[in-house]
Amino acid sequence: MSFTLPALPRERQLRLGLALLLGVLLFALAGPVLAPHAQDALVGQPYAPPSGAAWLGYDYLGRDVVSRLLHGGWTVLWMSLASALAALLVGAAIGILAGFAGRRTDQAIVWGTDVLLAFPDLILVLLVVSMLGREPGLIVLTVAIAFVPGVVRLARGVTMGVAKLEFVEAARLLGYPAPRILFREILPNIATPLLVHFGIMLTWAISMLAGLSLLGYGVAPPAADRGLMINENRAGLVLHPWAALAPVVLIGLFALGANLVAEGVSRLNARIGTQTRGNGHAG
Amino acid sequence: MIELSRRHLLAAAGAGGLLALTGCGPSQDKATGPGLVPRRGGRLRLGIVDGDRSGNLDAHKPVGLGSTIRGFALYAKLWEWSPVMTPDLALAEFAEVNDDATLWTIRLKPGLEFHNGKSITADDVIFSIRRLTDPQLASPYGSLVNQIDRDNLQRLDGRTVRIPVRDGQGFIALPDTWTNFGGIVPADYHPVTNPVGAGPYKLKNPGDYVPGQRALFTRFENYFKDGKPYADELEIIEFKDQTSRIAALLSGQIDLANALLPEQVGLIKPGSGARVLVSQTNGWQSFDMNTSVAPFDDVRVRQAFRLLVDRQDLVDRALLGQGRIANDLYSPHDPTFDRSIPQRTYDPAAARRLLDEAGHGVLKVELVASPAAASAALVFAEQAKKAGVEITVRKVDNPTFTGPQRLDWGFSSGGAMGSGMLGLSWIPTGLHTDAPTSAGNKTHFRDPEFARLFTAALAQPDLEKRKALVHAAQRIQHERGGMIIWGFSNTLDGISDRVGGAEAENSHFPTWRFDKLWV
Repeated sequence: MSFTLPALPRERQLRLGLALLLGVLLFALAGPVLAPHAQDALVGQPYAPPSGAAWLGYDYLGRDVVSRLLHGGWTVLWMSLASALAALLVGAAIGILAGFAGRRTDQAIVWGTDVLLAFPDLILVLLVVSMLGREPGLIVLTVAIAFVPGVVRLARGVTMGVAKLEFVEAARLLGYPAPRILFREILPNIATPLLVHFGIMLTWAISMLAGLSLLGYGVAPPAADRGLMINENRAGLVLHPWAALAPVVLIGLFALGANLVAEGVSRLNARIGTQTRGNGHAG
Repeated sequence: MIELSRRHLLAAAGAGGLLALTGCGPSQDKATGPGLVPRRGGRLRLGIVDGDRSGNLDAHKPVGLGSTIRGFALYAKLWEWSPVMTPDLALAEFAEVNDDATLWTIRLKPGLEFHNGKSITADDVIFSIRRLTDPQLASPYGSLVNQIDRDNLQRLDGRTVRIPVRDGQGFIALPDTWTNFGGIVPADYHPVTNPVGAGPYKLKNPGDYVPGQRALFTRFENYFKDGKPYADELEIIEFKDQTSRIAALLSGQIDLANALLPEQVGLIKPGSGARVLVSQTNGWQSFDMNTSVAPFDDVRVRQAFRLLVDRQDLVDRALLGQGRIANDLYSPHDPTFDRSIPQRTYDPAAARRLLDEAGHGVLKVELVASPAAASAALVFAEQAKKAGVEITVRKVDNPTFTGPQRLDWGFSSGGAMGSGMLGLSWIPTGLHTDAPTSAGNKTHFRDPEFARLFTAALAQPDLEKRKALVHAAQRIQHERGGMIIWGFSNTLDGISDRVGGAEAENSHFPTWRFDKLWV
């Protein structure tokens, strides 16, 4: 159920996705150094079109769009990664516990996730953010909480499947402690579906965070957040599209990269599984 | 009528064909166009951005801007605004306050009628005042006329009413405060089952108002202005967003679009079949400093902050040039306005000196901004950096901004962008902003000398004597007040080439003057 590095180059989707994500990462890290202006510097006429001095023109206040794009890469990157990672860690822990522990624990956890699943993700996040504020840490936490039930359900399902297999039974009969069984026997065998789900969650987080900013509930201005940039410049979309469309493209590339990686890992896993079964039969 | 048929044909065409066909339209419209001579007939269609399903037709408690606009069609008032925003007599033929400012006497014009044919009498005026100020109705606009002693209104004859005023506050310009929400309605009025008034148009059928969607009116033949209104019908169509509304204007599906965004003005090009009407208003834009809390309890800080505003840059960026700079004072069109007060300019060095004197090194301040004012706040934050002032803009939604904390923000955006009344006359505007008795004093400005001058001006009937008092009070506002009034915004209206009678004025409602517009 694990893949090896030599298999990686053969997955075109995975390679393309990783390249996009690497590009996004480099853009986020190097952007602030390369940006010709500060993210909130008023350096041109509002909505001025692209020119040699400003390749993507100026935004609704007269700020350089390129500079804001270069400054704003880090926000969506760290927030979406942190949200997805937090949801993965917490959700996987709870899900594995539900799948491995007894019926009562399982039922209690399932009921809890059912309650959370009853709220649409975006509504839940909007509710919390509008009540408690727009601090980036709080937004990350709330988005992560919205994703946790899905991870719990997935981790619980695959854990239940693996827990019935012979090697887990054998470990139990040998008297291994539960933590060892969980970490040494079960976790490695459910890692791939969780990783694929992480990639999908990353895409959702990017969309949700951009959507929150677009609705005015995300990162506060004057941050150069992508979603916020779309929101701020959408009134001039028809006549001055650059300032609103450029962040759309970058959000799209990031989401596409995350999606391709998730899809690539999934395909790779399926291919390796097929090869493994094929080798087994041959042997 | 030929144009209407053509328009209906166009409306049935596809979007691409629409644009192509309307591109050919204007030349024909101009050839046969509305010209300077009013023309009767047709349907006038105004597109507004509202879509509020809780909207209504209430004369005295309109919900949202759309309801106020519909009220301009349905209801006539004792006064109406002139194009330069002075109150002219409308249903009233005479209105006067006595010498000690305790009593207004108002007489109706003869022969007035409501939409249902009933004559308008003094009893209807009394009913309308009592309804507007009824605590049960709880109209937010009742407070505009809270100086009226509603329990002692007196009918002198069939057309004349005496209105007592409490505490000698009769010199508060009653017409200024009453006009927008002072629709005269009959005693059997009901905003849902019997929305009868005396405005230029009446509801065509009871079901012709669908909240959040549209309202259809028909001409009131016995309107008090002879020969008006001109159109057979008036339709007010609600849109959810500006973009679809401007597309409707350019494709000929509506004739008027009020309050365009400055960003979208460029969409209305010569030959597009429409034009942009620019009206310079008194609607001000400000940042309001709470003088009761630090650091704004120190007058030097207030003076410094007023020097940190590059007003022209704010107008150019936050209003996209659609406005003019201000000098920290409202009501520039009031005859008592002191024009000799020098214009304050951007001077970060002088601001820095004042802040140093006040003992502030790097000063950090939070500026709470409504969604509409966030862009101005961000520009100001950049301007203030040059004097070492760090302004953090906290953009909050409208319910939060105008919620229970609305008067307690330390530093917040302000202004009178949506109000026709505020910003016109100095005294009523002061009563709603920074006067000692104002219930909406965000600045908590409690200067004793200003209070004395304001109160004296309130009770001074002679214009020249009042002018001296107002000038002295305005100098105090300018020197140590709490409002940084940096600009006045324009109102931008989209007008189809089919429409006649629309003219720029000092108000934000040239497109609501339904009795003077024609197609």
